[in-house]
Amino acid sequence: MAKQKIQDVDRSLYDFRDDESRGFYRMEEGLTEEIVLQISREKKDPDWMRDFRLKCLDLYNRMEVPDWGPSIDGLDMDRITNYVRSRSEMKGDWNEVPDEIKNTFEKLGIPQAERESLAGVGAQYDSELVYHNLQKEVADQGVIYIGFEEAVTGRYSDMVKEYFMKLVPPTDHKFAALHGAVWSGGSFVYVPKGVHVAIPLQSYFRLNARGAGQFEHTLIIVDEGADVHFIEGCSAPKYNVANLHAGCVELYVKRNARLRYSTIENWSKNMYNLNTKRALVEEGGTMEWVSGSFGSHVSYLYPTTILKGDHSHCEFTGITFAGKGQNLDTGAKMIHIGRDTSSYINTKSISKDGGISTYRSSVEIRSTARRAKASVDCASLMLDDISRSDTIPAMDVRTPDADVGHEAKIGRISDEAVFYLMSRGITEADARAMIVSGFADPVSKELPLEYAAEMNNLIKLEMEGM
Amino acid sequence: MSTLLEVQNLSAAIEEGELLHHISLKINPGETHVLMGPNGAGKSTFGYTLMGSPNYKVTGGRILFEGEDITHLPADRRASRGMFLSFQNPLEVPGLSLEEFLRNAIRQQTGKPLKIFQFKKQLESTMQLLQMDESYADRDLNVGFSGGEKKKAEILQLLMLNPKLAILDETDSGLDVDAVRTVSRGVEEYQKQRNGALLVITHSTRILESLKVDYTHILVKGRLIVTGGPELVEEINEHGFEKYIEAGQQ
Amino acid sequence: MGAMKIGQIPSLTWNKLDINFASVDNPEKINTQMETRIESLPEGVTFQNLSVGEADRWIQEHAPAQPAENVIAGKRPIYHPQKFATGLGAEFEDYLKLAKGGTTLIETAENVKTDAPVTIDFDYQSGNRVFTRQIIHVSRNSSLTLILVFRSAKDAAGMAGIQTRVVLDEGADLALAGVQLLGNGFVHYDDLGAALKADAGMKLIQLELGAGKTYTGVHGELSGDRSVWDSRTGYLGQDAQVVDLSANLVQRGRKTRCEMKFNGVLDGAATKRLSDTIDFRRGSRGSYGHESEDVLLLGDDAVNKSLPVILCEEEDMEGSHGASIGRLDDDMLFYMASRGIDEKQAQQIMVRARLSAVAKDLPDENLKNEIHDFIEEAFR
Repeated sequence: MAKQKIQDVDRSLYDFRDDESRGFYRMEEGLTEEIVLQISREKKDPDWMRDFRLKCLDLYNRMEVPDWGPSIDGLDMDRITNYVRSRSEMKGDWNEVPDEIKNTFEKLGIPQAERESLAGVGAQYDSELVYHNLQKEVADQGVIYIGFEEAVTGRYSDMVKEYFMKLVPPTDHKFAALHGAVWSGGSFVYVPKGVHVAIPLQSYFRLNARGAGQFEHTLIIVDEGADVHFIEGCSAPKYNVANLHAGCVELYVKRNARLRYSTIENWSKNMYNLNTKRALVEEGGTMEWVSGSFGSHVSYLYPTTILKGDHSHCEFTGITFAGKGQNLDTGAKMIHIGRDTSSYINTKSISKDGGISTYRSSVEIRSTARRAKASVDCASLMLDDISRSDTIPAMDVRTPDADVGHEAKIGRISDEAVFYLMSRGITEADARAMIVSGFADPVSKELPLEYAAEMNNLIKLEMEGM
Repeated sequence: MSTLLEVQNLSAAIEEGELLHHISLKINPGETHVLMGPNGAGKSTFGYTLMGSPNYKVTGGRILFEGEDITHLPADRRASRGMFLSFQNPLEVPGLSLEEFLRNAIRQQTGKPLKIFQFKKQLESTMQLLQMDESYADRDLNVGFSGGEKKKAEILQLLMLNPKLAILDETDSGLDVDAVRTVSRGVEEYQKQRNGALLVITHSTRILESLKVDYTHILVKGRLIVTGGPELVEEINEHGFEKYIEAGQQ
Repeated sequence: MGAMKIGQIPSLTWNKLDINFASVDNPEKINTQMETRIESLPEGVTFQNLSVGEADRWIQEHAPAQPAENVIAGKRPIYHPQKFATGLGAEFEDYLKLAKGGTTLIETAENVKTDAPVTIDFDYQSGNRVFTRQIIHVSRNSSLTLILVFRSAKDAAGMAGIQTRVVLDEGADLALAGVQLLGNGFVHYDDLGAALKADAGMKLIQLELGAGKTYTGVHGELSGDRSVWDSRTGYLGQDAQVVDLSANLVQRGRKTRCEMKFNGVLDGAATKRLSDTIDFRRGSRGSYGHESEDVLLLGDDAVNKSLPVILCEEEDMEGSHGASIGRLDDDMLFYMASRGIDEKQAQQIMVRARLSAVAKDLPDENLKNEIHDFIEEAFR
């Protein structure tokens, strides 16, 4: 059967860029104590936060880059401008957002999505949040959804201080320390006890400046019995210089609460995406992750869930599509501490055009996690013989009445399946695209409709044009 | 003649809700009972509950075996008292041969060392009766057995363990005509051997053709709707369960 | 010598999990030489002792044609810098250099099919700290069955190590079994490197039942087209036993097949690490690789670590992995119980079943009985 040529994705939708020379403020490249203090002053940090940043900088300077995973040699930390922001202040009314930024988000369809189906939207442009809005009915339920700077300095500062970088301590790894030193922007969400937020909250990150870093911090606390869905979208135009994203997401799911956290990441293919996401789930709570990774040059992304409370539960559904020039190392970590905890990881990865995808995970069942159940199911698809796909799942089980299952499969599109579809009158190209979509289906059906459409669109673009 | 099995007002449930409601029936030694009902009526649940499956919780009533309350006994103790359940999907055990498994089971049930020579002879003749190739004795328990071979291996265990009451759960499902005949021959042999009582759970009537049925019970939605004689089997054959499904809804 | 890293996986993961390699602190000095004596060999099979220099030359000459890679896919740092890689790796090889004494070369002529297994018994005394090195070379279209049995008195203590390199020429078949029945005071190392040419077949049976600490490492190069690897490993960990297993199979030839099975039981506070890797190299078209693991956890303080890796840079292949870790499942217990077997007995039956499934193909009934008795004794 003739091999088809699979083209690189048409990125024109994401690759427009604004004229950077107008109205942007750039700091010196590289990371020094002076720069960190300058950021701290700009942010009007309270003292504790300033001291915390300096402590993190010190840790960052002393820590090594990981000796496993994809090479990040292409990332010269001295050349990353760690802090770039536009001159605009945060706005609560879309009409007041400067036109060039507004255009960017309009092109990405963000306000439109908000009008249609979102309870609240935050949009971050480079290092700063430029727009934040929450529907009145949701605000009236006591739900807080504000920019992270406002949270640090405003009336919720005590709450922030109690939770900030406690789940992801700066000692965790070098890029967590970097994040602690230079974090900027992001969101703070609090859902009070028993409140069910019927429609999702969304945050959209856009990295527009050349050679910049984005270090937003997201902190979500879902109080007892509450329920919320948070959606995160990321994109950036393509530059020839490396960009860095080292965000941090900390999620607290209290007793019997439920949080669903969905991400579609489509950073441009010069991005080093070294993001850290972690959730702590209390008794009877449920954490659900849905994660799609399509963009970036290099990704290290393993959302971690700590099932601390008895009967807590987590599901992770993920898809990774690595194309030309991409080395995407993604997966999940589950740490079972409470009794009768359960977790399920279901991932798909696709490699084509020389792309490298690695599924990496760990499942830890601590000795306290009696009767814990964990199951992992990962499947990989190789679309040609110049790509690469690795599966590296670790398991550490320390209680005898645990039940841990693991299944991994790797293969290619079967000629027979293509032939079967072709025998029913479908072209080979369509047949292959259908099979890949079918492979991704269990993930796309977990996404909200507009995101599922975006993802299917991405897959279609990747598979089109033979 | 004293009652072998007496089920009094039995109810059983899983986490999601109750599956069996207030079932009562009696089985005397040597009797053959048939339990019929549409799919999802709870027939297999009843069999598993009688045998003490941890998947079902008894929420009411009692099970008496030879006059003793066994409602809360673990399954192995029920087996050693003389109960047997044939599984629809027997489990596979790589590394454990069918013969070794039988020896272990007999040793545990009787609490006595096995008379090897006698055991071997009986195993051989029973396998012959069931038209099983003797190589099956050395093969790993149920591993790579076809559907029919698994069913035969269950009947082989029935004959070797020789219980007082055998509960056969859909033993005839998925078998071709010849295999049903062979399995029936095994079951007849069991009845002859020790006047064994039978509770045959089935939704078809094929396995019943060669058995002399004493009582027929019809289970609909977890309730025992009617108990009758062998003529009920004929009736179901001709008219199906519809009449009883309606009755069950009242 | 400080800590020795052995059994390193080819593609590292999080260091915090302490799963990338085994670490042996201050490995003990080797104090004994042991000469392998074989009473009789089948016709066409020869046996000789090579000096250190001769053995090195032999190994260099027969190393797999492909050079060992240092980096895969932009990830680091990968393969052992050994010319003829073994599972326990370069640091272990350095450690072995401290052992004096030669290497045993067991070789077949071409077209020699032997039916009867050759058994080599290694009997260790308390206080022995010994290493044995051997090379097994099966020539074109020949077949050989070799059984290695490691024994000591139950209460003996010491160190017993073996390193084996296997070269299978075109169409050669080797069945190699290692049965370890050492006393609890022993540390056991078993290091294997194998190179398979076209149509060669390797069948490996490993049973690690005794020894306080066991480290086994396997590295197999399926360079030849249609070469076949089939390995089964069974282990038993009790009390504070340490069982460390690593296996790395590199599939380079076309239509190669690899099957690896691991079956184990962990009781008491035993700890076990298994890292097993299937590595499909570009060009291994039409190949198949499968790894599976089954761990029965009995002890409250037992620790099980597993890292089943699949690396792949070839499109036309089929790879899979399955693992099941935990106690006996309820359905199995109920099935056993319905036949009158209680939980404790069911557990013992399952322990025996798992390990017998590995021992099943050993062509030596007496040895199988010995294994059976060893397991019975262990659970008494």
